[in-house]
Amino acid sequence: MKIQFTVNKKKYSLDVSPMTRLLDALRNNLGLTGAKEGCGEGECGACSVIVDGEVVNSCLIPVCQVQKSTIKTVEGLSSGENLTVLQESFTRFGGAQCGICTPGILLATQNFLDLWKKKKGGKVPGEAEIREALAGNLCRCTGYTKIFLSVKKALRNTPRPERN
Amino acid sequence: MRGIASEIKILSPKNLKEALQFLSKENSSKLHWKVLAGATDLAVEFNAGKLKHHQLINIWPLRQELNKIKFSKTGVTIGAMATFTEIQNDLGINKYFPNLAAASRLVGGVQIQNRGTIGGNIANASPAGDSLPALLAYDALLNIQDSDGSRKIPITEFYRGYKDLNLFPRELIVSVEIEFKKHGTRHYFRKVGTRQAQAISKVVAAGTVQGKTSIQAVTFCLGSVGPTPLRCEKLEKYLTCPEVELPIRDRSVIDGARQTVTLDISPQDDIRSTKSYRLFASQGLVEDFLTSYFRPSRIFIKDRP
Ligand SMILES: Cc1cc2nc3c(=O)[nH]c(=O)nc-3n(C[C@H](O)[C@H](O)[C@H](O)COP(=O)(O)OP(=O)(O)OC[C@H]3O[C@@H](n4cnc5c(N)ncnc54)[C@H](O)[C@@H]3O)c2cc1C
Ligand code: FES
Ligand code: FES
Repeated sequence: MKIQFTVNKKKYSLDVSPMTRLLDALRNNLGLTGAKEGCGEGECGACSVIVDGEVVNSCLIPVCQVQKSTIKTVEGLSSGENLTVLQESFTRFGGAQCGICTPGILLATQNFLDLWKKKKGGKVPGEAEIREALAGNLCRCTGYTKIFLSVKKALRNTPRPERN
Repeated sequence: MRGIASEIKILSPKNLKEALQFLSKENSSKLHWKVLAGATDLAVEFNAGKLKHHQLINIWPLRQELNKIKFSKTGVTIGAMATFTEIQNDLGINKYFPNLAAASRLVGGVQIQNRGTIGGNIANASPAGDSLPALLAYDALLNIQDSDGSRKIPITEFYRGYKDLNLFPRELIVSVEIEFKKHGTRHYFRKVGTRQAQAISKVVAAGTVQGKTSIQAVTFCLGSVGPTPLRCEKLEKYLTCPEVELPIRDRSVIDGARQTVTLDISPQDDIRSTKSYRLFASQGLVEDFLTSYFRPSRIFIKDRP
C-alpha cells in the first residue's frame, strides 16, 4: 500500500506492506538508522521515535498507522553539525556509552521536556519526573546515573559546546 | 520466527460506521478479521511470529471518534480508544476515579501509554491487565456496538473464563462508563511488579470503601491471581457487616480477611511469579487495603505533562 508521511520535515511516499514495522520502514526504506532494534517487543525503547508529538516504540507500529503522520527521528534533532543542548550534555557528561539506547533516550527526554514546558512553563522537572519519563528506555551501559545527570545538567546550565 | 508483513492484510476503515458494517459483513459467522487498535499487544505477537490472524481491521483511524472522556451529572464515559496517557492526564479521572489514573500511569512506560488503549486492555483480557481491577472495583459498564445497535453490560459479565469474552467478532467495545462514587469513598490501588515501570503485574489490586464508622459498601478486586481479573466477592461479603468497625484495628478482622481472600482467588505459577508468592502478596494487599485506606489518600497523584 501507499504510505505518505513526513519524517524530519521531509515528505515521503512509500509502497510497502501495511504491516511493515515503522522501524523497518525508517531503517530499510529511508536509510534512517538512528532508531535501533533492541528487543522488538516494546520493552527497551531503543526504537523510540516521535509520532505526531508523542514518543512511541517504532517496532510496535504498523506503518499503516502512520499514514499522513509527522515523525521525528534522532536524525532530526540537530541541525547539521549543531547538536541540541541535550545532545551536547549527553556527550559531555557520559550519558552515552555504546550508544545503542541513546537515540531513543534523547527522543524520549526531548519529548518529555517539550510537553513539560508546554504545561509547566519555566518550572524545572525533578529527578522523579525524569525517571518516570525514561522508564520505557533501557540502558545496559551507563547504569542510568549519567543519563539523569546529563538531563539535569542540560536543564540547569546550558552546556557550552567545547569546540576549538 | 518473526512475522512476515507481506502475509498480513489490513483494512483501515474511515469511521466507526464503516468499521461496524464491515465487521457485520465479514465477521458475522466467525472471526475472520481481528481488530487492531494501538497494537501494543498485537504487534508484540506479530513480531514474535505468534499472531494467528492474517487479516486485521485497523481501527486506529477511529481515534477521533472513540477517544473522548466525557463527564455527565452521573459519571464519566471513556471512549474505548482513549490511551493511557489521555486517561492519566484527565483532571476529572484523577479527581473522581484515582484508581484508574493510577493504573494508567503504571501501564508499561510512556511509549506504551501513548499508544495502548483502554479498549485494548479490556479486550486483550490478560488476567494481569492493570486497568481491569480498577474498572471492576468501580462497577464499570461496557458499551458494545455492532452495525445493528448497542448493548451495555457490567464488566464483570464480560469475562467468562481465560480470554473467553462476552463479545461477538462483529462487535466493538466503544466506551466504558463509570458512575460517580458516593462522596467520601476511599480509593485504593496497588501494583506489585518486578520494577516500578514497564513490568507486568505479579499481583494488582484495586478497591473502594464507603462508610464512616462501619463499612457500608466495599469493593476489592485483584488481577493476576486467576484466569480473569476478579472481584473478591467472599471478602467483600465478609467485610460488609456492621460489626466491623472503622478504622480497622481488630487483628481478628484482619486475619479473617486474609483468610477469606484465599477463597476468592486461584493463583498459578507462571514466568512472572509463583502461586505461593501471589497468595502471600494478595493477603498482604488485603491487609494493606484495610489498614491504610483511612489514612489520607494512598494514591500518589502526580502531576505529569
Ligand atoms: C512493553 C509493554 C509493556 C506493557 N505493560 C503493561 C502493563 O504494565 N499493564 C498492562 O495492563 N498492559 C501492559 N501492556 C499490554 C498493552 O499495552 C495493553 O494491554 C494495552 O492496553 C493494549 O491496547 P492496544 O490498543 O495497544 O491493543 P491492541 O494490541 O491493538 O489489541 C489488543 C486486543 O484487544 C482487541 N481490541 C482492541 N480494541 C478493541 C475494541 N475497541 N473493541 C474490541 N476489541 C478490541 C484486539 O483485537 C486485541 O485482541 C504492555 C505491553 C508492552 C508491549
Ligand atoms: S526494539 Fe522497540 S522497544 Fe525494544
Ligand atoms: S549506552 Fe549502551 S545501552 Fe545505553
